[in-house]
Amino acid sequence: MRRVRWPLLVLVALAAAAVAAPWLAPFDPNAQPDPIGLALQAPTWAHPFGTDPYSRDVLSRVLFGARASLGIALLAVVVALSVGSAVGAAAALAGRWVDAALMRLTDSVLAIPRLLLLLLVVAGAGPLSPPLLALILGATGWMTTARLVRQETRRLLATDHVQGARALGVPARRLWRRHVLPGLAPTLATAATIAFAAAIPLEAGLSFLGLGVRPPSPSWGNIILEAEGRILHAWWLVVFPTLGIVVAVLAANVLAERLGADEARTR
Amino acid sequence: MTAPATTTPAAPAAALLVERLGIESGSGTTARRILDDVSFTLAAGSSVGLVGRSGAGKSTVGNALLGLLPRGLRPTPGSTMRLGDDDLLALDAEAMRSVRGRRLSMVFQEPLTALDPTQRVGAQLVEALRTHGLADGPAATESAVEMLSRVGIGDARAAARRYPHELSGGMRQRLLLAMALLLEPEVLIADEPTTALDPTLQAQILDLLDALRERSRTALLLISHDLAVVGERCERVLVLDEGRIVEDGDAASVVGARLVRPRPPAAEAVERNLAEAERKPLLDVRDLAVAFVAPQGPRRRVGGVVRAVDGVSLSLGRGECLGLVGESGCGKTTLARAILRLTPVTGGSVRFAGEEITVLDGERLRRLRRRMQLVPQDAGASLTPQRTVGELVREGLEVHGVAEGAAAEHRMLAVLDEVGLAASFAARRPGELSSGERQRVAIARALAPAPDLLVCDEPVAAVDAEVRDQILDLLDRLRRRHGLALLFISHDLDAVRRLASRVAVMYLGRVVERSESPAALEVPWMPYTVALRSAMPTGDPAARAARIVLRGEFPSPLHPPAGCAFHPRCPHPGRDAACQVTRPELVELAPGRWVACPKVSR
Repeated sequence: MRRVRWPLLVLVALAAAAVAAPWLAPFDPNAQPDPIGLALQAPTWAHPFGTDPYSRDVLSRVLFGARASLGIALLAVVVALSVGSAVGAAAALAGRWVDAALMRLTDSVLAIPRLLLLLLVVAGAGPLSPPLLALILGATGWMTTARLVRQETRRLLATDHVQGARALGVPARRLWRRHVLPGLAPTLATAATIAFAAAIPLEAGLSFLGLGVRPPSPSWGNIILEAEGRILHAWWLVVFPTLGIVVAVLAANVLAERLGADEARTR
Repeated sequence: MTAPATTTPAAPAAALLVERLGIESGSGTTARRILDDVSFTLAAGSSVGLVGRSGAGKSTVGNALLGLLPRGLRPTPGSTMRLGDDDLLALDAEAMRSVRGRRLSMVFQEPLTALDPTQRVGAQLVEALRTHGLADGPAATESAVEMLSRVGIGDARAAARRYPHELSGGMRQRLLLAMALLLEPEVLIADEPTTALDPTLQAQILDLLDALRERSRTALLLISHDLAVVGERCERVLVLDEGRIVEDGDAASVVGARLVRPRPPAAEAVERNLAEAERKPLLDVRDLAVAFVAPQGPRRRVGGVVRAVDGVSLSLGRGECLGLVGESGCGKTTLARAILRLTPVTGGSVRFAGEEITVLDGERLRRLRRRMQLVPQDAGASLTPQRTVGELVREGLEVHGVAEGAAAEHRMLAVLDEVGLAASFAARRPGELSSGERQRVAIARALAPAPDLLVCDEPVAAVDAEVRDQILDLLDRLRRRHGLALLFISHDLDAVRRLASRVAVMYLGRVVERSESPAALEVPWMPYTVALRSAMPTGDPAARAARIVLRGEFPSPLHPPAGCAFHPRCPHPGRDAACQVTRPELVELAPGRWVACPKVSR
């Protein structure tokens, strides 16, 4: 538990900053006080993260952008986890043919590059609202979860304690709820952090390409987009949102790895 | 036992000297002594036994010597550990690494975890030689193969090309021994090297240790909770209790005083029998067969048929205990699982309370489960870690509608009390319990729905001697009090003798000897049972001379020998060609005594 404390704290701090954005942000993220005089200012005391080409305060946009980026990633995780555990558990519980069919389906979706799949969907459907974006991110990210859940469910079904409960005459539903599901919790936690770490840069990438969160609403990806053509000059437009992405992904990955290690130890 | 005392050039210092060794954890006010003032010496070629119950600190001694203490544990100031002329505590990590394995080696209880699963056996041995700069190239391969045959691995060259998981448990333990001995260490620490093995294998491995000790003058520290084993194999014995040595003396006096002789076969057993002989059996198994198809061949395509249980018949009445013995792999557990309908039956019939149960399914099968319960071998693994003891024990009541709410709570506490656990245990989880307590919870859980039959699968194989006695007494008490029928499966012949009023002996899926009293274990007739009985350690070195040690491995159930399955290992002098052709059937040689061996006469 102690080993997972700091990555967890970092994620909680990021989430808190996103939730508290209206109170923490010094300016309205969309206000353009002086598009000519105040545009593209390097960091100052008044604007610690500088300003963008429309004179908007980058600190405020990064804080509000965290709401979009983290919120979409979180919703994507919920979708990926629901679809993934349903597929994984069904494959583990069902007979050979259903199992084989579901796993080959998983393999084939996994074989298509995820970004390509996303681009196809977005290009076809046009710009998406944030909830729809999250849904599509989740719908293309459930495969790892499905594999993990299938594997772990199969292992749990073969353990002595599940066999023991079966020998005791515990009915199937109760067996699942009380003897298998609790054992799946650590796997689900690991799968969730992995899915989260994958969703953050994808959302940022799509938004950077102009296919994700649409301006003027800020997200970590489209703040960087404002630096288009002047990345070396307006470094603050790149560095600060990227920092948010890196910290969130790193914390989630460290958390996933340590949860995985804990799980392996308690087995 | 020792080699002739030749005078070596340098005065033979002790191979290992441990003085005032203390190990503590924590610091300041939370400091706790794990070991305290432990002193002993090991001369070259000698053997010292270290005994004590689990948790006494036995394994900590071994870990401290190897410099492999778990994090947070450290030696106290003033501790001394010397290997030959070297101070082990003064060595740095690099120097310690070159000592470990090369001069000071260890054999662990669980061989599979100590081997690298991704490396071929031969490669692992060669690696050890190369790491310590002893040999390289073809020479290393040669010594590896030679060592494998020295520890009794049949086709050593073929075995060297295999992976650890392809070898049987006994082979792996030998392999570990080969690894430890390849480097001819000065000191070998064996931590419960045979605890997980059945008696015939145990005797083989221990003989191997003795032979190699004499040949390489290796000093042996044998860590065990089994007094009988230590009494036979060691010259000196140290008794460890709560981290202190409470007794130190020659093996005969220490072990002799402590070893409790098994209770003589109760005359009462015979009484039990007579009283119950007339009744109709609760469980009646006829020609039961369980066969699996095992993948085989290079591409796992060809299926070989394993007849795990091959035509077994037995019966069991209420209030009776039938002991089922045999080596691991003989099909005992499969038989138990088949009777409980946990594994598909391929032939024969199982009647329980007059009803044929091999045809039941769905809800009727689930209902049946209330009446026949399992006490598993590994109680720790059989309890769902996330549930409390109370939930686990109540579960059997709830799912079978025996009791609910307050009534279930009441019954749960009563059952806990019956197995000797206080009410406070109900709120704990399996992870917080000792192995003995877990075994009691497993029994309580099986007992809660008031079953008629309790199938106990090696219930005492994984616990130490003291807990074992308590569990056996508990099972016997429950049998008397509730008229429970017990099917008691074990490779521990002493345990079976204490509980069972009737005995069946299994070899390779078949019953080879059966008796309506414990006689089959007291005075066995079938050559296999004779060997099994003789392999049990008694704590008396003199008894070893007369011991029959079975040659060779337990045969693969995939390719059982033709004729009598036991013939390749059979020590019977009358063994002949007919044994290799005709499979003997069980024949009643005396009232209540069946033996499947034509060479045995009254």
